[in-house]
Amino acid sequence: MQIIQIPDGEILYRYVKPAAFPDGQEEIPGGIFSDPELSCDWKKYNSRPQESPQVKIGKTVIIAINICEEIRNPSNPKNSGKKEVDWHQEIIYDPVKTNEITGEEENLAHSLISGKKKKAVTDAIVKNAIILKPTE
Amino acid sequence: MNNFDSCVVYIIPKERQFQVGGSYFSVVQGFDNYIQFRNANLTKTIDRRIRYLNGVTNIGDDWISGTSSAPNQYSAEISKSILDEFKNKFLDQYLKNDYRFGLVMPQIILSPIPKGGIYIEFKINEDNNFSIYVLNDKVINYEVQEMGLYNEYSIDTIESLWVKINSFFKNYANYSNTGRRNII
Repeated sequence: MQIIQIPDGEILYRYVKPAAFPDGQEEIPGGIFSDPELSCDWKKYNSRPQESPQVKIGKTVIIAINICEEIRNPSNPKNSGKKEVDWHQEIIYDPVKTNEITGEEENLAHSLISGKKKKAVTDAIVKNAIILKPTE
Repeated sequence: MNNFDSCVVYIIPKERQFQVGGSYFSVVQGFDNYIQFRNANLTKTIDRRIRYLNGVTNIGDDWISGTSSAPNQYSAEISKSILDEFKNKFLDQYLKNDYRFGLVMPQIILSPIPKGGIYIEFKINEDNNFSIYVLNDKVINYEVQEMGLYNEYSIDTIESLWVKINSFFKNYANYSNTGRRNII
């Protein structure tokens, strides 16, 4: 099966339970982006994230990530601003079909930001992410 | 009474107010009042974060897209001890001594970690920040961005982490070293 790379300028959504954030904390924490296989929904296939099944199970905080070169290939200031191979992220479309054995539900918008999540990477994601307001 | 008290108004930008509300700027008259305002707000923020850590273990697994585990008691307790240490020793060492004038106070950013654990970030600005990963399986790692450069460490003891935090704040929390003046 052909791997589809998600191009720059596209938006990915990530859903989080509100209890993950301390009261009064407005900043997006880099720690929530630390999984090597960072699971998201691609806006192209889910333009109404508020209606996602993830929201219905309580993950009501929706974070929108703007895909860009800064996330795909964070540069290393120690290395004259060159791309760091170890920090590279594969940003791919990864639709999930219903699995009757595991019970996993279909999610045709599912996508991944795949790669080691060093701080340079999570910082780049934070810089290019916003929390959607309920009306957006 | 400080010489500055009668004539200086301290204007604190919103991003340094630790979400205490109000308009874009808060105005505090007098140096001692300013120090009190700053310490009280930092203490309040840390206390709120500790209350968060008391409850975050109840978040349950599957709290974020993809596979995720709740923080366990170990990661929450260690994280609380780091914040307690920060509040009790850091404030005593720095705010009441030479570093108090012009010291840039960090934002304190917390969250669970998808693989299980707690993330703590002390953020001075975009180029100087300190991230600690306290994992459920009793491993503690930290990554530091100093003057824009990234360094990664793993630690054996909380004491060695504390030595690094101390040196980080000594080097980068004074506005003259960060290249940005946050206190007008």
